[in-house]
Amino acid sequence: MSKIKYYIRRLFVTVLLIFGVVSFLFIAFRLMPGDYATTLAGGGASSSELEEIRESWGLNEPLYMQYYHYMANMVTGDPGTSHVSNEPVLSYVRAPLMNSLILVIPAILVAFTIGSIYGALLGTKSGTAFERYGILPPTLAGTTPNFFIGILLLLIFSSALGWFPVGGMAGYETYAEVESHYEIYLTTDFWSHYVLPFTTIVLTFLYYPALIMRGSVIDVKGQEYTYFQRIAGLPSKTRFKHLMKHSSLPVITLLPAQTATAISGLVLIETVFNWPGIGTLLFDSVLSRDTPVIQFLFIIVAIWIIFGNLIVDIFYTVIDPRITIED
Amino acid sequence: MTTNNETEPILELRNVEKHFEQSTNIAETLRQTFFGEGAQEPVRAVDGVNLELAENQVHGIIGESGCGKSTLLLTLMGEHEPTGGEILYNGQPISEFDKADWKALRRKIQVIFQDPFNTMNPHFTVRETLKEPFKIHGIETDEEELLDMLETVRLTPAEEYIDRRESQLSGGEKQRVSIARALILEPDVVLADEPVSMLDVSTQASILKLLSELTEEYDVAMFYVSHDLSTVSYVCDEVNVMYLGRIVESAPTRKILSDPKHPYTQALINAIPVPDPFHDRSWTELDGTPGDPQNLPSGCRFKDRCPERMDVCDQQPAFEVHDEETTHQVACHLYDEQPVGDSPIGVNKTGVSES
Amino acid sequence: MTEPLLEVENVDITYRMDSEDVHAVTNASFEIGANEYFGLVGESGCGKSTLAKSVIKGLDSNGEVSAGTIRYKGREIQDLSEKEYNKEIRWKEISVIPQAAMNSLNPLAKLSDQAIEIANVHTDWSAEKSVDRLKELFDIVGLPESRVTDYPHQFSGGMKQRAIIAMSLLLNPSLIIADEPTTALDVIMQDQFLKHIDGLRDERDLALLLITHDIAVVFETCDSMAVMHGGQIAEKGTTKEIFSTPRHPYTILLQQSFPDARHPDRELEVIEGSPPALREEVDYCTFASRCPWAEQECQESLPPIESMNGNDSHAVSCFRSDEMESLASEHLNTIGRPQANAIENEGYEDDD
Repeated sequence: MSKIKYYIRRLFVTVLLIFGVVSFLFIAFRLMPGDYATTLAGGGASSSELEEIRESWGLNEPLYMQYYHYMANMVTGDPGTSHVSNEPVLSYVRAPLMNSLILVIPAILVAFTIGSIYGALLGTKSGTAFERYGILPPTLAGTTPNFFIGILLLLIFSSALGWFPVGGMAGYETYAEVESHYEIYLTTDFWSHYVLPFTTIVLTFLYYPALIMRGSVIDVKGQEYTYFQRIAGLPSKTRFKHLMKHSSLPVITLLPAQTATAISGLVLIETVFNWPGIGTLLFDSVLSRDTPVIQFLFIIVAIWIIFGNLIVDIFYTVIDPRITIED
Repeated sequence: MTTNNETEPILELRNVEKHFEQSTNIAETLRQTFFGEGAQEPVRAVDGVNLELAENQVHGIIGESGCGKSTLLLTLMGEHEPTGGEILYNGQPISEFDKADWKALRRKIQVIFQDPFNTMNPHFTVRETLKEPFKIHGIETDEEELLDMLETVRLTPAEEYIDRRESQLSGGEKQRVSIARALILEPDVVLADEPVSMLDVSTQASILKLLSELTEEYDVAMFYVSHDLSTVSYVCDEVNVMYLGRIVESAPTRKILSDPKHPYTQALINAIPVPDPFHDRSWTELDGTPGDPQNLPSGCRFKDRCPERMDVCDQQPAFEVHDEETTHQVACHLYDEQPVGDSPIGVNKTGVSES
Repeated sequence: MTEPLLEVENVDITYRMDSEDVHAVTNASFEIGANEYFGLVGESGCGKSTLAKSVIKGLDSNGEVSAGTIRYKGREIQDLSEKEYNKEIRWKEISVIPQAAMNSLNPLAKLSDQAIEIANVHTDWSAEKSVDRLKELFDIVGLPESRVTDYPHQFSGGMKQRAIIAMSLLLNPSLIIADEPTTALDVIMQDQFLKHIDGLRDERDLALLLITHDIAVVFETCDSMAVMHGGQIAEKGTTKEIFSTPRHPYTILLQQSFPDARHPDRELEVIEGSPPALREEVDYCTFASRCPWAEQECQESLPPIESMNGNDSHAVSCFRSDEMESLASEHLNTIGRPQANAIENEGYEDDD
């Protein structure tokens, strides 16, 4: 089978999976304890109010019709209206989502880059004291709860040293100056707020890539072909290049899953740093039972994981010829 | 297989099969559902093996890597459940065994592994290694017994060896410890998986000699699994040659070495280097490796590599007694004309073509 | 006699360990002539691989040739820098077939790319020329030329081995060092491999240094051989000399410890004990502690390696080599088996 056919097939399976997850979320939210209308209305609504909600949300229709509308809305890109802000979910979520992504994606990439390089360094020095004890710092950082690291950084660099602001994404003055939300990203004030949460995420996520890269390098280094390359006289630079390419495969597999973990871990970090991202939004939405928003955030995370894996799978077929595409 | 009337076999394999289904994950299932693709062929690692092991007998199971001999051994160890056929221990089918029976069986069937370098816990001393089987089965033991066992496997002075760790033992010594560990609970059957293939040939001799003496002394029966026919004569009473999941020839050791019938057995014997520069052995005619146990050819599984290939080889050859005086059996159409009509009881002459 | 291709002369090799040194090889000498197939035999740990690695500059970083000379085509190579060695000797003159031939190809690169990479280091060939050359060699080792652009995983085990042979021949070396190339293989694969190695004799001018623990393989494949024990060369000569008139006790016992498929009933010799740890300077015969005929002298000084009966090729390092013929025949008679000489004189009947 050609690669193209494989990609198409793989994409098809991806779409099916997303369809499944979105359907599952529909069922899960209907199965939640309590009447869905009550859930939507929040606490203390009168029965006439509830009836009104049922009417306007189409909850009196049979379940399959509700499901049909739900899916139709999702497909046309309309995940509904937040009943807290009465804004369409899409525009309501957009700014926090951007705030989160601009924090988490670079942080994860930096964590993976530094972690991989550090792990590779440990791996190439296997058998030394550096290799044995060098894994301790990232392990310590990786196993400490991220909010704790965040609080620690705040205590040291904000409270004690006063180098960075305590929380938020920008000061009031900055908010006042900018015309649109996205202009904030261009201010220095934003970036000084950015440093500590960014560092927290990097520290938290160094551990896995470092650990896996270390093991992978030791493993590949021990494979016979590296001896053959040495004995055939390949220069150490070339051999190092081969070693890194081969060793990084398992780390790449890790990336989408770790990004998803990071996004779900955002709730705590964003709360600690008072960062107006989807973590904070999700937290608030759960408290106020803003179901359409919660639903949409879940879907985004699910799609991210599914697409992340698709990208990794496709990437693998490019980088590793042993991944055969079966007939 | 012909039945041995004198003694009841201690371990008997009746048409044992071990097929591995190809893994199916969600994506695979979806693919099969939506693209209408059938499930993949199973890997037929062991495919209808009949063997009988009588008390105090040593049977060799010989074949190249990938022939299914290791899977067969794992099945006998209880690590795999056979997908067909039956294994009988002292006449009892082990599929009916309960937990207690299994525990007893595990004591009575012991294993010696191929790699002496990985079977010992590197943190254990020889003492701890030998004590472990007792602990597992809740049996009391004393130092005396352990020392005796070490003497038996010629690790002398035993007092000196008992406190050594893995790193202080040579390959041959480690394999002696494995043998001691296997025999210390006085099992009925020992399964030896290529016990000398990781050792220097010059060390192999001493280990084989020891194995052979101890199976006598301890009255144990043994399945000896190996890819190498050159050393079977030092341990085995009988040899079974296995190819892609099936036994293709079986005979008493001397017989099979002096008069191999199956072209595959002949190739195995011919490929053994002869330690003599004056001898002019011809190189093997066989090409390639055994096929893929997932896409087996119909009929004789050796036909694609066989120098004697005939048209009839597309049909599965019966496993027949070839020689009336002995128990020499072979599954090959070259011997179809041989009179088998008057052959002893219980010979399976059917099963000609493969489904 | 023409100049030998490789001369190893009085070589000592030492590994520096944390606490002490290990004298892995002591006073080793042997020669390989052009087009000669030479076997180096001994148990694991006897120093045979170390000795071979010193020829190709493949010793681990803590090991060094601490005495003696290694000459290739008359030129001393043991002190060449890595750069000089790479430029002038490696792969162009001496190449290697490693132990795990099947796992010695980079799984992530096409075979053609791997050949280009090796050729790039040692020559100024174009990529095209390297690939053409690999195709030629594929033809010689019996692989289809079209498959040079395959990845290693597309090959079966036996094909990978042949591909490695092709890789080692890439720059047309005069000497190939094969380090336990068949140890991990089943008999049939081993035989296929040896068949190809043997076939190369007719194809080109090539010498082979074959390292193995299997004396049978050497007897079949090689013209000459050396037997090593505990870092010392015990005996060397043509394979026929060593087979017919072994004069070192280790050679005699080693030979008798090998099974011979033609004589399944023969008793096998067992060599008791293990070689010494070689922590101190080796000034004794390392086989003395295991030797049934050792005397005081053997423990106290290193026996020189001396030619047998004025014979140029056959040399033995044993104080009692002159008596060994009668000592050994006595021993072999007591354990009830024919000795090698007797068998040879009768003449073998071939089985096939």
